[in-house]
Amino acid sequence: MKIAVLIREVVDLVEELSVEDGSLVRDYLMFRSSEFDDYAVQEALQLKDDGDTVDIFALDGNEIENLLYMAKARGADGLYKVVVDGHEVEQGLSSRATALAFSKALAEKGYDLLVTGVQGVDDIDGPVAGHLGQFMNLPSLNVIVKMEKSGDKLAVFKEYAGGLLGEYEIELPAVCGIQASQTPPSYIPVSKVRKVKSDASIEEITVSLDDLPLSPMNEFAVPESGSKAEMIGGDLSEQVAKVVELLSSNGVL
Amino acid sequence: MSILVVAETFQGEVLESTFELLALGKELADGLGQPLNALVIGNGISDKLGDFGHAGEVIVVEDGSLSGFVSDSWGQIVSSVAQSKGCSVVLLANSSQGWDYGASVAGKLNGQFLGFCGNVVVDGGNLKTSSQLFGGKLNVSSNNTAGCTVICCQPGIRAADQGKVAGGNVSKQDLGSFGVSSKITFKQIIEPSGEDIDITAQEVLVSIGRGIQDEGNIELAEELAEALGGAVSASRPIVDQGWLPKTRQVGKSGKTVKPKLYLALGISGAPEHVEGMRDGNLIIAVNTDENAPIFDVAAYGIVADILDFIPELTEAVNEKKGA
Amino acid sequence: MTAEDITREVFRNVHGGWKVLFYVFVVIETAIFLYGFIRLYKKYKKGKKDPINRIDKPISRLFKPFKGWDTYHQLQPGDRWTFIAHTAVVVGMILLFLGTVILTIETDFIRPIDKKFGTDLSFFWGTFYLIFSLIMELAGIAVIAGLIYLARRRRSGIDRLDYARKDGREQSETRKKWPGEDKIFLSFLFVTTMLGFILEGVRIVADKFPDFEAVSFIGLGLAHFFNLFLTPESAEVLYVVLWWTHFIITAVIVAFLPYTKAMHIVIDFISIATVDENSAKRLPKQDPAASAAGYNTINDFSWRDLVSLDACTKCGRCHVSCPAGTVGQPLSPRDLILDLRTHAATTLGTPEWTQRNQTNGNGSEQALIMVEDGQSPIILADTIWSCTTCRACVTHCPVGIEHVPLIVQMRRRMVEEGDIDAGIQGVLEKVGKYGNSFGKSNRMRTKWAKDAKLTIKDARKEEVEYLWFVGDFASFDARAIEDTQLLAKVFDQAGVNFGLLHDGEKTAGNDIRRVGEEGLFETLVEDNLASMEGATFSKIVTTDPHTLNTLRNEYPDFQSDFIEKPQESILHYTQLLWNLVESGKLQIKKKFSGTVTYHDPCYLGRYIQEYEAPRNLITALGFDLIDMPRCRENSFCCGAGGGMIWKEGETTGDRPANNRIEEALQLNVSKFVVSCPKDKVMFGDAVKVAGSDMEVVDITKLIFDALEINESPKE
Repeated sequence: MKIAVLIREVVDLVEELSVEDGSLVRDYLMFRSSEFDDYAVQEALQLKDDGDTVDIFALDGNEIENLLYMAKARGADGLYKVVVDGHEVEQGLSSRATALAFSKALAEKGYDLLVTGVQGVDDIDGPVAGHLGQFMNLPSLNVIVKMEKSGDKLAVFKEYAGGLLGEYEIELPAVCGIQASQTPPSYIPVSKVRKVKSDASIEEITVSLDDLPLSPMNEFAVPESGSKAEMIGGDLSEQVAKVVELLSSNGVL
Repeated sequence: MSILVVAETFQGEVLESTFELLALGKELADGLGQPLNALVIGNGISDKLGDFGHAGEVIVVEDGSLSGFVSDSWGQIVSSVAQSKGCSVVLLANSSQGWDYGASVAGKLNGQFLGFCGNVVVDGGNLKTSSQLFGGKLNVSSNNTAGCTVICCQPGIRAADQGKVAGGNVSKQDLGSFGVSSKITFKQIIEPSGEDIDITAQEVLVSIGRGIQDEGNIELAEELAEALGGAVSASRPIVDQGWLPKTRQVGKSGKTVKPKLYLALGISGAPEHVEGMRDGNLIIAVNTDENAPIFDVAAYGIVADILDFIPELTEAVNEKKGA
Repeated sequence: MTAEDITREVFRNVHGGWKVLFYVFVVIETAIFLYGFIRLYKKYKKGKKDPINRIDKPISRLFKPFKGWDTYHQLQPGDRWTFIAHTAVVVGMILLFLGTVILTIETDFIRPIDKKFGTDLSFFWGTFYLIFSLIMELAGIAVIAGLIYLARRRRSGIDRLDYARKDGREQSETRKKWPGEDKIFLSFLFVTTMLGFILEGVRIVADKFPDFEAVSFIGLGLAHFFNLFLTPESAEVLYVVLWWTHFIITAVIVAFLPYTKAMHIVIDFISIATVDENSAKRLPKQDPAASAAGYNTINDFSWRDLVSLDACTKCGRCHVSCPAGTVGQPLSPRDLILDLRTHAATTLGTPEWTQRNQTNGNGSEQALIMVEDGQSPIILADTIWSCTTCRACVTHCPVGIEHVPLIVQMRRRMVEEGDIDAGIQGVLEKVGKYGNSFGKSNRMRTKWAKDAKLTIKDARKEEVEYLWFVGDFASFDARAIEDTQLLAKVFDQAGVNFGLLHDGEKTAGNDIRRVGEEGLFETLVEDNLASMEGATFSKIVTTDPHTLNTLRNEYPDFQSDFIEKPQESILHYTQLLWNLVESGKLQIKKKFSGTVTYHDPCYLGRYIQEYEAPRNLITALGFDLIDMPRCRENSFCCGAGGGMIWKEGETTGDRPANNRIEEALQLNVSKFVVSCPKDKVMFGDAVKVAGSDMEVVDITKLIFDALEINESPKE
């Protein structure tokens, strides 16, 4: 089976995000792997048997090379960096444009299975998996928590609310959007990544995106706190007493 | 030009989110001066359409093969209907289903896609949408202009009650007329294993998040739950650690609860969690971070360490009960 | 009677063929003895090269085993007599052995030379003999008395001498044989020494009580007793029989010495002489030439590691001082060493007498922890992942075993394989990404200063005297931040010229290294050194003793000149505060009263050996300081170190901090004083668990209150 995992960077939410003139202030932004892409890599690798390959395609980003090396240290095979002609990495790329870029990079490479994360933190444009399926005319199923081989097809489990799972069988080639992996991504020690860095190479693929449907203008704003909770002050015993009072007046006690 | 609401069906039921979409749809339809229609796909749902009065036409596509949601089938049917109805707006729920097929609809109709939408209003003949991104840290608004827009709406975008109106002109359409071909086969729904209490049936929930810090401290929450006659529930991180079973998870991929009392203890209030508990009757949140988003959804808030708070409250409650 | 008559006949009634037989036995006994040590040597040769230089300063090292004698690490008072008894046995046996050597020289060398060359070198008579006899007599008494004391002590059931393992694993056949082995060995020593006295008595009867035998007064006493039923003729016969018995027993002791616990007589000497004084304080770097990190099988162990495994005398000091084991977690440093030892002995060709029926099908190639399906692990993963690196085991071991570095080496391989606790993995990923274990943006590192409206110099921009390396917990943990803010104010009050690296500071990495992520540790060192390179300072002060240890003892390994005289110029804040109080730069205005206790942090106590500065501060504040029974070198770890505070998985057993608080509560003190931010966090929680209102307070807060700083709002 030829598997490709599509990964990208997202803005790291550890930093405070601020807005100026309706735009995201990019000065102190930190970037990290998209959490769900990590699960996608992990889930794809657990599917890998002898004779299968798992290649990683990463959309160009600030720290994307490290992510590629880490995926390789986990057991991936080929490493590819997808560069969008004329586009500056700092500007960020919407999820739909990202899907289009991937579709061009993957064209005619004959992958049986394309895997990516269910969503990114700024996917106003929709899921990469869904758009990718549309661009490449492949069936896509999203919010998947488990993949298994089923003869020459793929058995997948889709997560619904309340912890329910839907079991499906997909004919390949197809696109899967991953919500969670069966086993958590394992730890890759720094020494292993260093070793991979010295041995591995990343192939660059350049694509151009003239034909992307225009995205709507997006204006950013920090959400208003809206109706905030009434804060109960005082020392701990006073606060507890007030809560007991509330519980009594609300019929709980 | 018209507005289409795609109902969310699951296992032969029409979910509440559908009526939230209908309430919104009606608003937009009135604001844009366009007709509102609804599309219902599934199996065994034709007798559940009594409250679709807001919709002009209720198109029902019912078939045995549609008893389980399949992304590409839904995508093909919705696109076909949206196209034939000349839709300017298609409203979906931002759920495991909507998020799955919505993109293909936007693609087939050569339109736009808008996800995580928290609000839509009509502004001078155009739509102004607001989506919560970056884990709820930022709102992104957009002015939508030409073509068709597929909008995935977050739960609670409107009150479901306002979307329920008796009536609805039902017209059945045969699945065969769509020429659907799918490479995905639905097999079955699997329930989570294990016997456990149903947190949706509890009147009181003592809900814990990362602030509990250690598996050993969960005992403190259990004691409080016992004192209050309720049960312990949790946010996703606690369940992911394996400290509590999945059946206790409150949130988008867990359960939606509406208890009389919801104590959010050491929970930050990420949108995915809030989605599952915002309708609780009385929500009291305790967190060491005074800027935690949970305080936006709680009625009352306390800035404190839950490891201090919980045992004190347990003691006070037991005293009150004993008195 | 002439002086020449004052002697005893060597080989009395042992002639001709018997004498030859004697020498044959001596050769056999020596061969068995040598073979025993040769096979041990061969095993050690199989060991890898040790990353620490174990043979530098050879003269000083040769004296080490003797130097250790008077600083015999005592876990409780009252061990003094044991030390005396053990010394009596050892010194007594050495003297008796030397006696035999002297006799051998006289008999097998001097006398033949005299005979052949007509010289008169023979000395075993007259005054020499009398002094010799007296010394032998006293030596024999020492041995007997010592053995009686030690045997009684054993019988009285001391905790640390209980060989039973407490981690829930099966008691092995080998382990069940140990008490028997001990008894046999001591009995043999006892019997053969008693026989020495009995032989004297019998000889004196046979010689009809010569006067000079008065020096052998025990023998003389026995002789009077034997005289009641022995005639000189029967005594003569009995003498030969007893002589052979004495010889055989002694020959057996000697021959089988290297096959039993008694090997410690030789091995301990080597172990102590090759000890690394900085073991655990300064861990060895990962060998870049090695194909994989750390230790996976016994073949990865160094020669010195293998020696140290054999050095263990099962004294149990490490076993009872380990905080993890004490609270029921599956770690006993003693059993770790003994399990490794048994495995090494049975797979590398040196099975001991108690291991003689033990088989190991998988050989030395078998993984110790990460075994294949169907194999049984030698060491459980939980065992090495319960260690807090508190160094109690290493400190208390009298024979130089270095448990902590072995544990870290085994962790290194597990980390490389990704086989680690989820919580620890999370922290490693956070440290790798953000430079701190809290997963916060490193730009937030000095938020505590902003929150307290403090402006602190950036050492990268302005020259300062002291670079304050604040550390993760003191910067990010809500329970520790308050003390950090107070400390800054105290420094200001004292006029200390200090600065921070601000967002240039990453976690110093002490516990990252001890968790086994050497690659990440190296990255942290590189980054911190680069930040420090860009800063101007002459001294460093740290909040956390862990930071102190790695900066002082390990960073110079990477860049020897990053600071001058690291041992003197890198201080803990309590050391700096005491200097300031002593020199008058800090004036204690308000005196406290009341009783308090102080907890010695592992890394300030055992690692840095600073026990006085914090105590001086506490008493200078006016408190009545009562030490807990387990204090100073014997302090009981809070349980946070070695990455244990990051672990998320379920732990068997209790937490060390709870045990420690129980100890403190016995003293009925109002305050539990700490000097480490992690201690503040761990004990703060433990006190809540205990339901006590004893206050856990950092020294900084006490000092701050006592200074009565006038905090007028700044313009």
